[in-house]
Amino acid sequence: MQPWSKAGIIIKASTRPGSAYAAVMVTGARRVRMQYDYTGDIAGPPGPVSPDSPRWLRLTRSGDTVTGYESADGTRWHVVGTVRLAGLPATALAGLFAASPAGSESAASSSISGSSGGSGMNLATAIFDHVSLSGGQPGQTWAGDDVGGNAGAPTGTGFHQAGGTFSVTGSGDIAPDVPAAPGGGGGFAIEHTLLGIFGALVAVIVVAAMFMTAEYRRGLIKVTLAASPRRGRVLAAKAVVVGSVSFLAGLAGSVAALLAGEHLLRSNGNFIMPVSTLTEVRVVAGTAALTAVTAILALAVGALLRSGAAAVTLVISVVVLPYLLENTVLPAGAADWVLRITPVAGFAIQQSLPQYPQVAASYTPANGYFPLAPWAGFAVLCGYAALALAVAVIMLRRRDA
Amino acid sequence: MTDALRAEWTKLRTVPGTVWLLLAVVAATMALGLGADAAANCPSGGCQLDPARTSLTGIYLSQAVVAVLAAATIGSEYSSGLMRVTLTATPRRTTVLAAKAVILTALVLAAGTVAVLGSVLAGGLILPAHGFTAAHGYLPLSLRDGPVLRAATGSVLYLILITLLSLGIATAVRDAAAGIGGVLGLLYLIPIIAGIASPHWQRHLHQIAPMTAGLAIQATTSLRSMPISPWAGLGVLAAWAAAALLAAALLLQLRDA
Repeated sequence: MQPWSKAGIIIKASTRPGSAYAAVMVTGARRVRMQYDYTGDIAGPPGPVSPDSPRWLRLTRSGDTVTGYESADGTRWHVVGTVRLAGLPATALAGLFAASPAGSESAASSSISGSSGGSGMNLATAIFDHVSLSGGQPGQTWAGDDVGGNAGAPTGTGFHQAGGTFSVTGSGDIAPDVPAAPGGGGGFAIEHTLLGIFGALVAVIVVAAMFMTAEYRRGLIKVTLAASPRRGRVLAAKAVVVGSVSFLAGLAGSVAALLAGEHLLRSNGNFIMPVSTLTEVRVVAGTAALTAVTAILALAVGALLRSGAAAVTLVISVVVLPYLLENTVLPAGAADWVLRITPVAGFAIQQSLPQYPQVAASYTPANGYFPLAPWAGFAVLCGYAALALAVAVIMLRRRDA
Repeated sequence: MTDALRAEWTKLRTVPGTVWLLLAVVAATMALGLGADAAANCPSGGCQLDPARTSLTGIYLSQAVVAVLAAATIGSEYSSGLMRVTLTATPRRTTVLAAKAVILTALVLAAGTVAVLGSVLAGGLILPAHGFTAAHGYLPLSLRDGPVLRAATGSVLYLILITLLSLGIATAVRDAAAGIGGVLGLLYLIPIIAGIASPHWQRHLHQIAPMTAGLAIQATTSLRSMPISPWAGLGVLAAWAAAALLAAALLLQLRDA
């Protein structure tokens, strides 16, 4: 039994996977919940649910509004949630369901009954009694179906009726598809096509650092500072130039990489997780902005260290290396902090898929998930670049050229 | 050759950065290694962590430092124009490159040995308190253990090979900053790209990438599931370093300084 194993009553437009639904359910270790249309999730009152403390569940429909109730004793009912299901047909299907997502190593095991077969698919069985219907019900007999079942589903699913008691056994999940979840669809996120950004960043870091350090090597800095004695302006102008150029190059590169990558992935039969146009724009423009801010960081570090090799190494070590380390050798807890406090946090701007608390999955950067929100992570990188630039301006004013 | 060695030793010894970079090799290896030791946790038997690899995590960072040392050794000669003097004094250009390689190898051997010994010692002291005990199937981290000794000596050899790879690439591009960018790109990018490749391609990338293949020398657990065996992996890195030095020697012969 998984924490998110679930069983309850559901009203659904059809048995086609992906059709609209609302359901009120008991879960393995996440109390009573009302879930609807895959991404909607409302928690019920606290308190564990187990065979020793069963729950009463009720769903009512009025037009396209569905209300879920729960009760411990069958007399005092609490509303769990009320949702509107756009496009729910006048005649919808209603029934009992049981589902259990595949085991996840990170998910804690729960104590209530059920079998779990290692990391593979597993089954949950729910016992329903006192089942009653009111209102117009065209279907008079109960029928069982394995909704969305596939070849990998375990055997033993189905339902069994004895008098007024139903036993329903199911596997899988009624939830949004998360590629990182065990048994997930294995699709690609759009940012997977933008992995080449790391190569671009190395090139941009070298160019931006040398944009400053080459002046020192050739003694050109003396001429530059003689021509424009306001030193802060020199650095600001360099930052604007290198930032704009890097942004445009990054934008061109990421648009091309996204289009080519999506085409290549699709033609090889891969599924790409759909995202809104706004998210797509944020990922592509964010990647370009990431390139620009990294360039400004490299420029500032170059101005501080006045050595191209040292600046390039330092910036690559804080922008690229932590990403590699947290994907390979660092334990999960340390990796989480690395992604919050180092400039690598900026890569969060590329995250296109949301985390769903109701789906247990390994939400790691390797799978496209970051601990910080996209703009918060990007702000961390911007903070480092701004700090480096400010210190560089101060040092440039104080030091001899 | 002796004169060339003495000349290179004088140049490298009298540049203020050298001492600091060698100290940074030790500091970076130890600091990151200590951090990984402190963050590691093995609450029960059968955890996936390799204690030798964990305490030697710092090599990921210190390889960047030795790469800078090597790239700066040749890059600074080109940027200051000293290279013309050097080649006038020692007209056999491969001798210059070989002398630089020998001096760098000796320095990195010394700094790397200190760094690796310190990291293994620290791992042996810290890791048992984090669950890496005999009860969970781990021997105490000690150089008397064959695989750990191999991981430790291999890590020093790894740093030396990275130094030579960096010397070769920086000589080929005649610039320290561009050279270091190329080296770090080569080291860090392939494993990142491999992260989303299919398992088949991932295995192949890990077999040929200089960093992942070379660091196979650090593995002491689950050797069977490795994409490449430890010494073969170090051999792959040696081939990269040899190819870079060969290309550098050829270009040095053919081009103007």
